[in-house]
This record gives sequence, C-alpha cells and structure tokens, in this order.
Amino acid sequence: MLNDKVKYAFVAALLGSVYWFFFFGIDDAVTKFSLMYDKVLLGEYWRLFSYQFAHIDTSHLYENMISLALIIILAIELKINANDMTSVYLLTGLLAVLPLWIFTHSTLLGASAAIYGGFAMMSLNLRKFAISPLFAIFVIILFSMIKPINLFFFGGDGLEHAFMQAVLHLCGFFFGLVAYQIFVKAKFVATKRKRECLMRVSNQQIVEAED
Amino acid sequence: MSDESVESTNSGSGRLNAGIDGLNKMLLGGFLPARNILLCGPSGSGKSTFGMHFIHRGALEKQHSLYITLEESKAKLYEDMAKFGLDLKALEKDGYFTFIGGPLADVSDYMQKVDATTDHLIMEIQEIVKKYKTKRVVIDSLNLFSMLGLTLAARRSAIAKLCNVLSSCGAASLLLSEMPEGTHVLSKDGIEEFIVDGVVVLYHFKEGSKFVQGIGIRKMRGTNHEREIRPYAITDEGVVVYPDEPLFAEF
Repeated sequence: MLNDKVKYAFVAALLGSVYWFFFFGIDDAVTKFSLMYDKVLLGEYWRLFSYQFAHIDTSHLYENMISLALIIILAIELKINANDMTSVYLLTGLLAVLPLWIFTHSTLLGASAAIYGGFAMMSLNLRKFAISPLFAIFVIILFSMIKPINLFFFGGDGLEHAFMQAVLHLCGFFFGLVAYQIFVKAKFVATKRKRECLMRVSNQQIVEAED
Repeated sequence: MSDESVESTNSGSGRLNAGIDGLNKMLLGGFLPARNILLCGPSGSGKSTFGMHFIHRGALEKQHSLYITLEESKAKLYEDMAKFGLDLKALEKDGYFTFIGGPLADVSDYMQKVDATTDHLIMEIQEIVKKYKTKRVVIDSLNLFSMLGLTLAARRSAIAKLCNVLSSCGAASLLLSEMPEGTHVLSKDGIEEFIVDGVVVLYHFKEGSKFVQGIGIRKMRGTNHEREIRPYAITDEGVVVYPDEPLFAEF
C-alpha cells in the first residue's frame, strides 16, 4: 500500500501534467473542451468532464496550479487521506457547477470549482491546527467575494462577471463541504465490519458456547 | 470477594477506587481519572484478577466498565472470576459492564477476513467508550494487542494511539502487560512505560522454597504514592494487598 505522500506526489504530477498538456499541448483547447451548453446538447458530453482541465490563459492556469499545490501541501500536513481528497476534488470539478450552468447556460472552464472544493476539505480539517472550521469557512467565503465587493463599492467594469465567478467558486466550495462529509461518513459506515472485530469475536464465542 | 461497601472512595476527591483496599491505600485514595496505568507482572501474578477488581468496582459504582481481552474466551473468564465472587454476568445484564474480544488467534483471523488493522480496533474501542461513557477500561493484555502490529514502529504507534484515545475520551485504563520472568524489563516494546501515566509492578520473589508476591508503584503522575513494595496474595476472595506489612519478614 502506497503511503499518502507518495499518492499525493503522483496526483500532483498527474493533474499538473494534464492541466499543462491541455493548455500547451492541444490547439484551441478552450473551444474543444470548455463547458458550452449548446455543444453539450449536440452530444459533446466529454465537455462535462473536460472543462475543469481547460484554462483561458497562462495566468488562469498558473493561479489554479499554485492553488492545487497549496491544497496538496495542506492535505499532507493535515493528514487527509489521499484517496478521499482526490475523489472529492474530481467529483467537485465534475458536478459542483452543473446546476448553475444548467440554469445560466454560461460557458465554463477551469479547475477553480474543484480548487474551492479542495479548500472546503481543508477547512473541515483545520481543527487539527486548533483553527475553527467555521472561521476558515467564513474567511474563504469572504476571500471569494473580495473582487465583486470591491467592484460594487468602488466601481469598475466586470461586476457581473466577477460576481458570477465568485458564485461558481462558492458552488465548488459548498459542494466540497457537503461531498467530503458524505464521503467520509459513507466510508465510515462501509468500514463498520472492520470496527466490530472485538465485539463479533466475543459474540461468536457466545454462539459457539451455546452450541 | 468480600463485598466492601459500594460507596466510592471518591468522596469528592475524584479518584477511582482500584477495587482493592490495600492498593487504594498505596495510591492514597485510588487512581486518578482518565489516566493510563500499566500493570505489569510475570505470568501467573494475577494481572487479570487485578483488572477484574478494577472493573467490578466500577460497575458496582454504576460506572460503565469495559474489559478487552485477547487472551481468553468470555465463558472461561466469567467462570474464573465467579470463583472469586465476581458476578460479571449480572453486571453485564445491568448494563454497567461490557466484554469484548477473545483469543488472539480468533481476533487475528477475523481481522484478516475483513482486512482490518489495529487502527480499526482502536476506533472500535473509542466508539464503545463514547457510546457508553465508559469510565474504566482494562486491556488484557497490551503485549498481545501490540502483536497485531507487523513492525516495531507500527506496534509502538498503535500503543501510543490507544493510550491517547482512551485518555482523551475520559476513561481510566488499566493496561495489563506481561513481564518476562526474572527480568526488570517492564514492557515488550520498550515504550509503554514512558507513554502511560502510571506503572504498577507485580513481583515474584523467591524466598527459600516459596514465592513471595509483591506489588510496587513505580510511577504515578499527578499524585504521591507508596514507594515501598508491599506483599499481596491471591485468595479465595480475589486479590488482597497488605499495604502496612513489609515484603519480607524481619527477624
């Protein structure tokens, strides 16, 4: 069994490579892989999964890659199970923004929703550092709303776009919060038999004694 | 076992009655709550009986007590303790006592079958302690528990985790550990005596043609305690400790 650090190194290398490849290795990746409503309705269902790997420009790509690195470092420090982290990260990237996308029909791309899902997992585990998860959640929500709040109060172009971006990020964040808790709980329930060894052995002895 | 009055020795002191009057005296009232105590001794020194006194007293005082064994079956243990007047069936029926575990081979086989690790055992113990608000836990024995780990590092980690979980859940635990005969080595993996809050040692001394049993408190954090080794005996009523008598008679 690989230990978590090795798994995280593998995940970081794999995701980083995929993001890099999509941006530098494929021509016009944005047009081919972003989540475009009309294209999906025409049968290009891969976009439901591929959009999280496409990025609009280098700044967008590097921001997300640095954020991913930060999440992985925090996950190692907080000893979050690598399988849990990766599963919830990809699931968030896949599902978090779909409801809003179906409603708004906007074109989406980038790993931000998954990144914010990752931040959600971190915030739930910060109790290990004696930091209240509620405080962490509040800070992340505030952080994601800084740009639209700034534009709202001080003016400038792109308020609607900034607000939509913030909402999409928060979709990823709240999806990550819920998905991670469900995941951990489901795993806990699934391992029930493993956590009943001593009880089952003692009950088995009662049955054998009665026989 | 003579049914001493069930009133707690706590009397506001917060200590847990050890179940043996002489030992309570040596501890100046009993064990401190939520502490891990290592009880080590050679084979046949009465460790399980000591553990049962601790459990029995807790159950009589309506504190939920948990006995975890990897040594023997439930039926055998209940039968053995009944000879000392410890009616574990009745306590279990009243809901103040829970027994889990069985022979190591059975536990190990089941663990292999469901792909469980010592971490799962620790989680199981933690869940039971939290569910019943268990105040007293006895683990019989720590040597066998640590044998479930494959490497020395894994065994040490499991022991440390177990101790941490028990005390953070507010349960006082008595961890029984076998000392190799004729040695002064307190534990198998060399870490237990440093992790725990207290160490009580059972001795077997050879005096002429007979063995003399002695009990000594090697360490007990947070409280003063008797420093001398005192004699004890396993009688028809269980363990009796003589806190005022010298170990060897003086002539």
